[in-house]
Amino acid sequence: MSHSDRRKLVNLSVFAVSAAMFAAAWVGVVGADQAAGDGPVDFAAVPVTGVTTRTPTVIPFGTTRTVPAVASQSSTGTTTVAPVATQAPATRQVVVVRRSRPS
Amino acid sequence: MSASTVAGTAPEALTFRAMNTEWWISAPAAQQSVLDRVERLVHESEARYSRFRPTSLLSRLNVERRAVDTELAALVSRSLEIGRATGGAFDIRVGAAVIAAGYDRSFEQLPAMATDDRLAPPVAMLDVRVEGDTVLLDGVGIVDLGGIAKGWTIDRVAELFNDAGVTDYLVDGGGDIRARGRDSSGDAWAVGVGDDLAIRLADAAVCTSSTQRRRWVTPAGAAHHIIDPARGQSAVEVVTSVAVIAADTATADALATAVIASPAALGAAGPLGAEVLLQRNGAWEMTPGMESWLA
Repeated sequence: MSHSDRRKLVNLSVFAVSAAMFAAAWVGVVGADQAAGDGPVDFAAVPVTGVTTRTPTVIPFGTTRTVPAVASQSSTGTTTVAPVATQAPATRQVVVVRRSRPS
Repeated sequence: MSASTVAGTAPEALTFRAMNTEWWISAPAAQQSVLDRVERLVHESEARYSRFRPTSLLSRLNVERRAVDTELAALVSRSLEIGRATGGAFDIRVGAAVIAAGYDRSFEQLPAMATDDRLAPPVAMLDVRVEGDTVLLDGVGIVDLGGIAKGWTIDRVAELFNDAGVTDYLVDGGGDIRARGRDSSGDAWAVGVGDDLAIRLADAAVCTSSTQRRRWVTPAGAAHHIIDPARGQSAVEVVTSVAVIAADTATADALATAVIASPAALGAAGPLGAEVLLQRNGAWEMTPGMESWLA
Protein backbone atom coordinates (compact mmCIF):
# COMPACT_ATOMS: atom_id res chain seq x y z
CA MET A 1 0.00 0.00 0.00
CA SER A 2 1.44 3.33 -1.01
CA HIS A 3 1.74 6.32 1.24
CA SER A 4 -0.97 8.00 -0.81
CA ASP A 5 -3.34 5.07 -0.29
CA ARG A 6 -2.71 5.04 3.46
CA ARG A 7 -3.36 8.76 3.55
CA LYS A 8 -6.69 8.28 1.78
CA LEU A 9 -7.69 5.62 4.28
CA VAL A 10 -6.86 7.88 7.18
CA ASN A 11 -8.88 10.69 5.69
CA LEU A 12 -11.75 8.32 5.08
CA SER A 13 -11.66 7.18 8.69
CA VAL A 14 -11.71 10.75 9.93
CA PHE A 15 -14.65 11.51 7.71
CA ALA A 16 -16.54 8.40 8.83
CA VAL A 17 -16.02 9.11 12.53
CA SER A 18 -16.98 12.75 12.14
CA ALA A 19 -20.08 11.89 10.17
CA ALA A 20 -21.07 9.30 12.75
CA MET A 21 -20.61 11.77 15.60
CA PHE A 22 -22.67 14.33 13.78
CA ALA A 23 -25.38 11.86 12.95
CA ALA A 24 -25.49 10.64 16.53
CA ALA A 25 -26.10 14.16 17.69
CA TRP A 26 -29.32 14.15 15.70
CA VAL A 27 -30.73 10.84 16.86
CA GLY A 28 -34.12 12.07 17.85
CA VAL A 29 -32.60 14.77 19.94
CA VAL A 30 -31.33 18.27 19.76
CA GLY A 31 -29.32 19.83 22.51
CA ALA A 32 -30.78 22.69 24.48
CA ASP A 33 -28.10 25.02 23.18
CA GLN A 34 -29.06 24.21 19.63
CA ALA A 35 -32.70 24.73 20.39
CA ALA A 36 -31.92 28.19 21.65
CA GLY A 37 -30.43 28.91 18.26
CA ASP A 38 -27.29 30.87 17.57
CA GLY A 39 -27.31 30.81 13.79
CA PRO A 40 -28.12 33.61 11.37
CA VAL A 41 -30.90 35.75 12.76
CA ASP A 42 -33.18 35.26 9.81
CA PHE A 43 -32.91 31.49 9.89
CA ALA A 44 -32.43 30.88 13.59
CA ALA A 45 -33.86 27.72 15.06
CA VAL A 46 -36.79 28.39 17.33
CA PRO A 47 -37.00 26.90 20.82
CA VAL A 48 -39.39 24.04 21.11
CA THR A 49 -40.94 23.08 24.39
CA GLY A 50 -42.88 19.92 24.90
CA VAL A 51 -45.23 18.25 22.51
CA THR A 52 -48.68 19.36 21.56
CA THR A 53 -51.22 17.83 19.28
CA ARG A 54 -53.27 20.36 17.42
CA THR A 55 -54.88 18.62 14.47
CA PRO A 56 -55.19 15.07 13.21
CA THR A 57 -52.62 15.88 10.57
CA VAL A 58 -49.89 16.63 13.09
CA ILE A 59 -47.11 14.09 12.90
CA PRO A 60 -45.15 13.33 16.06
CA PHE A 61 -41.53 13.82 15.24
CA GLY A 62 -38.40 12.40 16.71
CA THR A 63 -39.78 9.42 18.51
CA THR A 64 -38.52 6.84 16.05
CA ARG A 65 -35.88 8.84 14.28
CA THR A 66 -33.43 6.92 12.19
CA VAL A 67 -29.94 8.15 11.70
CA PRO A 68 -29.12 9.68 8.36
CA ALA A 69 -25.48 9.87 7.47
CA VAL A 70 -25.11 13.61 7.24
CA ALA A 71 -22.26 15.54 5.78
CA SER A 72 -22.30 19.09 4.56
CA GLN A 73 -22.28 20.26 0.98
CA SER A 74 -20.77 23.58 0.07
CA SER A 75 -22.43 25.72 -2.53
CA THR A 76 -19.58 25.04 -4.88
CA GLY A 77 -20.34 21.37 -4.90
CA THR A 78 -17.42 20.29 -2.73
CA THR A 79 -18.36 17.94 0.06
CA THR A 80 -16.94 18.79 3.45
CA VAL A 81 -17.44 17.34 6.88
CA ALA A 82 -20.25 19.01 8.74
CA PRO A 83 -19.69 20.70 12.09
CA VAL A 84 -20.09 18.20 14.89
CA ALA A 85 -22.42 19.05 17.75
CA THR A 86 -20.42 18.64 20.93
CA GLN A 87 -22.95 19.28 23.67
CA ALA A 88 -24.70 16.40 25.37
CA PRO A 89 -28.01 15.86 23.62
CA ALA A 90 -31.24 16.24 25.53
CA THR A 91 -34.26 14.27 24.46
CA ARG A 92 -37.06 16.27 23.00
CA GLN A 93 -39.67 16.00 20.32
CA VAL A 94 -40.66 18.29 17.52
CA VAL A 95 -44.20 18.28 16.27
CA VAL A 96 -44.35 19.04 12.59
CA VAL A 97 -47.44 20.64 11.16
CA ARG A 98 -46.81 19.47 7.61
CA ARG A 99 -44.16 17.54 5.74
CA SER A 100 -42.40 18.71 2.60
CA ARG A 101 -42.64 15.91 0.09
CA PRO A 102 -42.33 15.33 -3.61
CA SER A 103 -45.57 15.52 -5.50
CA MET B 1 -66.59 26.05 -4.18
CA SER B 2 -65.11 22.73 -3.22
CA ALA B 3 -63.26 23.96 -0.15
CA SER B 4 -63.56 21.94 3.02
CA THR B 5 -62.43 22.88 6.45
CA VAL B 6 -61.33 21.01 9.52
CA ALA B 7 -63.29 21.47 12.75
CA GLY B 8 -63.73 24.61 14.78
CA THR B 9 -65.61 27.85 14.32
CA ALA B 10 -62.60 29.42 12.66
CA PRO B 11 -61.30 27.23 9.85
CA GLU B 12 -58.24 25.30 10.98
CA ALA B 13 -57.19 24.53 7.46
CA LEU B 14 -58.48 25.03 3.96
CA THR B 15 -58.14 21.87 1.92
CA PHE B 16 -58.88 21.25 -1.71
CA ARG B 17 -57.44 19.50 -4.74
CA ALA B 18 -55.73 21.32 -7.60
CA MET B 19 -52.77 20.77 -9.92
CA ASN B 20 -53.25 17.05 -9.46
CA THR B 21 -52.37 17.24 -5.77
CA GLU B 22 -53.76 18.08 -2.36
CA TRP B 23 -53.60 21.62 -0.99
CA TRP B 24 -53.64 22.35 2.75
CA ILE B 25 -53.63 25.95 3.84
CA SER B 26 -53.68 27.16 7.42
CA ALA B 27 -54.18 30.85 8.15
CA PRO B 28 -56.00 31.00 11.47
CA ALA B 29 -56.69 34.73 11.33
CA ALA B 30 -57.79 34.85 7.70
CA GLN B 31 -61.38 35.63 6.91
CA GLN B 32 -63.34 33.11 4.87
CA SER B 33 -63.54 35.57 1.99
CA VAL B 34 -59.74 35.65 1.82
CA LEU B 35 -59.57 31.86 1.85
CA ASP B 36 -62.13 31.76 -0.95
CA ARG B 37 -59.92 34.07 -3.00
CA VAL B 38 -56.93 31.86 -2.27
CA GLU B 39 -58.61 28.75 -3.57
CA ARG B 40 -59.85 30.60 -6.61
CA LEU B 41 -56.33 31.88 -7.30
CA VAL B 42 -54.90 28.38 -7.23
CA HIS B 43 -57.52 27.01 -9.62
CA GLU B 44 -57.01 29.95 -11.95
CA SER B 45 -53.27 29.40 -11.87
CA GLU B 46 -53.75 25.76 -12.82
CA ALA B 47 -55.98 26.83 -15.69
CA ARG B 48 -53.25 29.17 -16.89
CA TYR B 49 -50.13 27.03 -16.57
CA SER B 50 -51.25 23.42 -17.05
CA ARG B 51 -49.81 21.74 -20.11
CA PHE B 52 -52.61 19.17 -19.93
CA ARG B 53 -55.30 21.72 -20.72
CA PRO B 54 -55.46 22.63 -24.40
CA THR B 55 -56.97 26.01 -23.60
CA SER B 56 -54.46 27.02 -20.94
CA LEU B 57 -52.32 30.08 -21.44
CA LEU B 58 -49.27 27.82 -21.58
CA SER B 59 -50.80 25.54 -24.21
CA ARG B 60 -51.74 28.54 -26.30
CA LEU B 61 -48.19 29.86 -26.00
CA ASN B 62 -46.80 26.54 -27.19
CA VAL B 63 -49.15 26.48 -30.17
CA GLU B 64 -49.19 30.13 -31.15
CA ARG B 65 -45.53 30.72 -30.13
CA ARG B 66 -46.45 34.06 -28.60
CA ALA B 67 -48.41 35.19 -25.58
CA VAL B 68 -48.98 38.59 -24.05
CA ASP B 69 -49.49 38.32 -20.31
CA THR B 70 -47.77 40.21 -17.51
CA GLU B 71 -47.66 37.37 -15.02
CA LEU B 72 -46.62 34.74 -17.56
CA ALA B 73 -43.83 37.05 -18.70
CA ALA B 74 -42.66 37.43 -15.10
CA LEU B 75 -42.84 33.67 -14.51
CA VAL B 76 -40.89 32.88 -17.67
CA SER B 77 -38.33 35.58 -16.85
CA ARG B 78 -37.78 34.09 -13.41
CA SER B 79 -37.51 30.64 -14.95
CA LEU B 80 -34.84 31.84 -17.36
CA GLU B 81 -32.93 33.50 -14.49
CA ILE B 82 -32.90 30.28 -12.50
CA GLY B 83 -31.94 28.41 -15.62
CA ARG B 84 -28.88 30.58 -16.00
CA ALA B 85 -28.02 30.31 -12.30
CA THR B 86 -28.14 26.52 -12.45
CA GLY B 87 -26.06 26.28 -15.59
CA GLY B 88 -29.02 24.94 -17.51
CA ALA B 89 -29.98 22.19 -15.06
CA PHE B 90 -33.35 23.88 -14.74
CA ASP B 91 -34.79 24.51 -18.16
CA ILE B 92 -38.42 25.16 -19.06
CA ARG B 93 -37.65 24.13 -22.64
CA VAL B 94 -37.85 20.45 -21.70
CA GLY B 95 -41.51 20.21 -22.64
CA ALA B 96 -40.90 18.04 -25.69
CA ALA B 97 -38.52 15.78 -23.76
CA VAL B 98 -41.05 15.32 -20.96
CA ILE B 99 -43.62 14.20 -23.50
CA ALA B 100 -41.13 12.02 -25.34
CA ALA B 101 -40.28 10.33 -22.05
CA GLY B 102 -43.90 9.26 -21.87
CA TYR B 103 -45.30 11.91 -19.53
CA ASP B 104 -47.78 13.13 -22.08
CA ARG B 105 -50.89 13.37 -19.96
CA SER B 106 -51.89 14.02 -16.40
CA PHE B 107 -49.93 11.53 -14.32
CA GLU B 108 -52.90 9.56 -12.99
CA GLN B 109 -53.85 8.84 -16.60
CA LEU B 110 -50.49 7.39 -17.60
CA PRO B 111 -50.58 3.73 -18.61
CA ALA B 112 -48.41 1.29 -16.72
CA MET B 113 -46.22 1.01 -19.80
CA ALA B 114 -45.80 3.93 -22.12
CA THR B 115 -46.09 2.59 -25.64
CA ASP B 116 -44.23 5.35 -27.35
CA ASP B 117 -40.55 6.12 -27.25
CA ARG B 118 -40.18 9.24 -29.27
CA LEU B 119 -37.14 11.39 -29.67
CA ALA B 120 -37.32 14.96 -28.49
CA PRO B 121 -35.51 17.87 -30.10
CA PRO B 122 -32.64 19.21 -27.99
CA VAL B 123 -33.64 22.13 -25.79
CA ALA B 124 -31.14 24.28 -27.64
CA MET B 125 -33.40 24.19 -30.67
CA LEU B 126 -35.94 26.34 -28.83
CA ASP B 127 -35.36 30.01 -28.08
CA VAL B 128 -37.52 31.57 -25.35
CA ARG B 129 -37.56 35.34 -25.06
CA VAL B 130 -39.43 37.82 -22.93
CA GLU B 131 -39.99 41.29 -24.31
CA GLY B 132 -42.00 43.36 -21.88
CA ASP B 133 -45.24 41.48 -21.29
CA THR B 134 -44.73 39.28 -24.33
CA VAL B 135 -43.30 35.77 -24.31
CA LEU B 136 -41.95 34.57 -27.63
CA LEU B 137 -40.95 31.07 -28.71
CA ASP B 138 -38.74 30.55 -31.72
CA GLY B 139 -37.57 27.22 -33.05
CA VAL B 140 -38.56 23.65 -32.26
CA GLY B 141 -39.91 22.47 -28.93
CA ILE B 142 -42.33 23.53 -26.24
CA VAL B 143 -42.23 25.04 -22.78
CA ASP B 144 -43.12 23.10 -19.63
CA LEU B 145 -43.58 25.06 -16.41
CA GLY B 146 -44.10 21.93 -14.31
CA GLY B 147 -40.89 22.53 -12.37
CA ILE B 148 -41.84 25.96 -11.12
CA ALA B 149 -45.53 26.78 -11.64
CA LYS B 150 -46.74 25.29 -8.38
CA GLY B 151 -44.11 27.12 -6.37
CA TRP B 152 -44.91 30.29 -8.26
CA THR B 153 -48.59 29.85 -7.43
CA ILE B 154 -47.82 29.38 -3.74
CA ASP B 155 -45.92 32.65 -3.81
CA ARG B 156 -48.98 34.36 -5.30
CA VAL B 157 -51.04 32.94 -2.45
CA ALA B 158 -48.52 34.33 0.01
CA GLU B 159 -48.79 37.73 -1.66
CA LEU B 160 -52.55 37.56 -1.38
CA PHE B 161 -52.32 36.83 2.34
CA ASN B 162 -49.76 39.60 2.84
CA ASP B 163 -51.92 42.11 0.98
CA ALA B 164 -54.90 41.07 3.10
CA GLY B 165 -52.94 41.70 6.27
CA VAL B 166 -52.69 38.02 7.18
CA THR B 167 -49.31 37.57 8.85
CA ASP B 168 -49.47 33.96 10.05
CA TYR B 169 -50.01 31.26 7.47
CA LEU B 170 -48.72 28.02 6.01
CA VAL B 171 -49.45 27.08 2.42
CA ASP B 172 -48.87 23.44 1.49
CA GLY B 173 -49.38 22.71 -2.18
CA GLY B 174 -48.74 19.00 -2.51
CA GLY B 175 -45.68 19.14 -0.29
CA ASP B 176 -44.29 22.44 -1.56
CA ILE B 177 -44.60 24.70 1.45
CA ARG B 178 -44.32 28.37 2.26
CA ALA B 179 -44.89 29.69 5.75
CA ARG B 180 -44.83 33.01 7.50
CA GLY B 181 -45.27 33.98 11.12
CA ARG B 182 -46.30 31.40 13.66
CA ASP B 183 -48.81 28.63 14.06
CA SER B 184 -51.73 28.72 16.46
CA SER B 185 -49.54 27.61 19.35
CA GLY B 186 -47.16 30.52 18.86
CA ASP B 187 -44.26 28.52 17.45
CA ALA B 188 -42.69 29.09 14.07
CA TRP B 189 -44.17 26.51 11.70
CA ALA B 190 -42.43 23.14 11.98
CA VAL B 191 -42.15 21.21 8.73
CA GLY B 192 -40.74 17.73 8.19
CA VAL B 193 -38.06 17.23 5.54
CA GLY B 194 -35.94 14.32 4.41
CA ASP B 195 -36.37 11.05 6.24
CA ASP B 196 -37.09 12.43 9.67
CA LEU B 197 -35.70 15.91 10.15
CA ALA B 198 -37.72 18.98 11.01
CA ILE B 199 -37.14 22.61 10.13
CA ARG B 200 -38.68 25.87 11.32
CA LEU B 201 -40.05 28.14 8.62
CA ALA B 202 -40.62 31.65 9.95
CA ASP B 203 -40.82 33.33 6.56
CA ALA B 204 -39.54 31.05 3.86
CA ALA B 205 -40.35 28.14 1.59
CA VAL B 206 -39.29 24.53 1.30
CA CYS B 207 -39.79 22.21 -1.66
CA THR B 208 -38.85 18.59 -2.17
CA SER B 209 -38.20 16.71 -5.37
CA SER B 210 -37.56 13.02 -5.76
CA THR B 211 -37.06 10.53 -8.51
CA GLN B 212 -39.18 8.10 -6.52
CA ARG B 213 -42.45 9.84 -7.39
CA ARG B 214 -44.16 9.99 -10.77
CA ARG B 215 -42.35 7.04 -12.25
CA TRP B 216 -43.41 4.92 -15.17
CA VAL B 217 -42.00 2.35 -17.53
CA THR B 218 -41.05 2.85 -21.16
CA PRO B 219 -39.75 0.35 -23.70
CA ALA B 220 -36.30 1.79 -22.92
CA GLY B 221 -36.68 1.22 -19.19
CA ALA B 222 -37.83 3.07 -16.10
CA ALA B 223 -38.51 6.78 -16.40
CA HIS B 224 -39.38 9.56 -14.01
CA HIS B 225 -40.67 13.07 -14.41
CA ILE B 226 -37.46 15.05 -13.90
CA ILE B 227 -35.69 15.56 -17.17
CA ASP B 228 -31.98 16.29 -17.49
CA PRO B 229 -32.09 19.06 -20.10
CA ALA B 230 -28.61 18.20 -21.33
CA ARG B 231 -29.67 14.66 -22.27
CA GLY B 232 -33.34 15.16 -22.92
CA GLN B 233 -34.13 12.10 -20.82
CA SER B 234 -35.06 11.28 -17.25
CA ALA B 235 -32.17 12.34 -15.05
CA VAL B 236 -29.66 9.70 -13.98
CA GLU B 237 -30.53 8.87 -10.40
CA VAL B 238 -27.44 10.05 -8.56
CA VAL B 239 -29.36 12.45 -6.35
CA THR B 240 -32.67 10.79 -5.57
CA SER B 241 -34.25 13.24 -3.13
CA VAL B 242 -33.73 16.96 -2.56
CA ALA B 243 -35.26 19.45 -0.14
CA VAL B 244 -34.53 23.12 -0.81
CA ILE B 245 -35.21 26.07 1.49
CA ALA B 246 -35.39 29.50 -0.13
CA ALA B 247 -36.99 32.86 0.43
CA ASP B 248 -39.65 32.09 -2.16
CA THR B 249 -41.31 28.90 -3.28
CA ALA B 250 -40.66 29.30 -7.00
CA THR B 251 -36.92 29.32 -6.38
CA ALA B 252 -37.10 26.37 -4.00
CA ASP B 253 -39.27 24.43 -6.44
CA ALA B 254 -37.05 25.06 -9.43
CA LEU B 255 -33.77 24.45 -7.64
CA ALA B 256 -35.04 21.17 -6.18
CA THR B 257 -35.82 20.05 -9.71
CA ALA B 258 -32.47 21.27 -10.99
CA VAL B 259 -30.39 19.43 -8.39
CA ILE B 260 -32.09 16.16 -9.29
CA ALA B 261 -31.50 16.85 -12.98
CA SER B 262 -27.84 17.68 -12.38
CA PRO B 263 -26.08 17.69 -9.00
CA ALA B 264 -23.81 20.43 -10.36
CA ALA B 265 -26.76 22.76 -9.84
CA LEU B 266 -25.86 22.74 -6.15
CA GLY B 267 -23.50 25.53 -7.07
CA ALA B 268 -26.54 27.75 -7.55
CA ALA B 269 -27.69 27.37 -3.96
CA GLY B 270 -25.50 30.19 -2.69
CA PRO B 271 -26.30 32.70 -5.43
CA LEU B 272 -30.00 31.92 -5.10
CA GLY B 273 -29.92 32.24 -1.29
CA ALA B 274 -30.99 28.65 -0.83
CA GLU B 275 -30.05 25.78 1.45
CA VAL B 276 -30.19 22.17 0.36
CA LEU B 277 -30.64 18.78 1.99
CA LEU B 278 -30.16 15.92 -0.42
CA GLN B 279 -29.83 12.18 -0.65
CA ARG B 280 -26.99 11.17 -2.94
CA ASN B 281 -26.07 7.55 -3.52
CA GLY B 282 -28.14 6.71 -0.47
CA ALA B 283 -26.39 9.11 1.92
CA TRP B 284 -27.77 12.40 3.22
CA GLU B 285 -25.83 15.60 2.73
CA MET B 286 -26.65 19.23 3.34
CA THR B 287 -25.33 22.71 2.71
CA PRO B 288 -23.71 24.18 5.83
CA GLY B 289 -26.43 26.79 6.31
CA MET B 290 -29.15 24.15 6.43
CA GLU B 291 -28.21 23.31 9.98
CA SER B 292 -29.48 26.62 11.28
CA TRP B 293 -32.94 25.80 9.96
CA LEU B 294 -33.20 22.46 11.72
CA ALA B 295 -35.67 22.40 14.59
